[in-house]
Amino acid sequence: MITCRDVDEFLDDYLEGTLPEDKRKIFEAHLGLCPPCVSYIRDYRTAGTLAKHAQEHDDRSLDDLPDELVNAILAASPKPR
Amino acid sequence: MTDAEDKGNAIGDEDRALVAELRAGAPGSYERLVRAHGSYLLRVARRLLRNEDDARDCVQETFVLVFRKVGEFEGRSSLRSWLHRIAVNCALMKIRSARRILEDSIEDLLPHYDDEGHRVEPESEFAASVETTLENAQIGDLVRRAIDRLPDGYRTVLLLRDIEDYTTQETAAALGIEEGAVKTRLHRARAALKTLLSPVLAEQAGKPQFAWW
Repeated sequence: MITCRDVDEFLDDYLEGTLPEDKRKIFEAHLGLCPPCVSYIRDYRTAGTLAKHAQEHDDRSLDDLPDELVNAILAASPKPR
Repeated sequence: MTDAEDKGNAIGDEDRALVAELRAGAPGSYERLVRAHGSYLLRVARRLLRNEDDARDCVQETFVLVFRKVGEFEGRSSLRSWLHRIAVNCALMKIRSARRILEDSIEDLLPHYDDEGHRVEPESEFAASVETTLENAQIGDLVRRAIDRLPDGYRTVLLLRDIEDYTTQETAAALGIEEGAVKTRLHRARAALKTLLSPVLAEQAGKPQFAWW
């Protein structure tokens, strides 16, 4: 039987579906007996989802680029030929 | 458009026309490029650099490099993906040159186990659903602040892998570290983020908790 520490070591491979079949069965057998690990994995995934969504929301609310920054950038651009 | 949606798309007709104008030095083409993509790049730079002045410097340096290198753009990705890569590399160089400490302790934020390897963890506090939580705009800020609290060596891996959609291999190349180190740091960063978000989300669920912020 594997420990909770082992679960954490293989967690990302498990979530990404890259854990080999034999190890996945052992992993899931542990989860069947260990509610704290089930709870931990749920929260671990939730944290990742929130991080992703928070940044995507950030990207959707784009402000215009500040004019002084646009001007500074354009001042460094090659002059039209 | 997020980078995830954009990533991998081949160059479109609009980009192709703009690139041709940039290469020809057409009047107004540089400003169109800056106004079309500058805000997006500023967001990317802010995420990585956490400092407005550094982020603006990064965007400026990115465009200066792009102006010089536009002749080398091969159109195998979209223009935005190409700009995104350059901005990320520029931000990573700034982080490295600032000599920020990459390996600050993250141990306190990682899972704890007893002598037999069993998890020693407080009861789950994520009682609010993800959907409910995401509707709260303030949570977005709290999540971003939690990410900002991670040590640079972990934060950059988390941002590149989970937010900027880099592969493990791409992340390793960008940071100059082994792929195994990317995987280890990513796992630790995610675990630490979970710890940091627990009190925030518990508060969402109506449970009074110690305030981290």
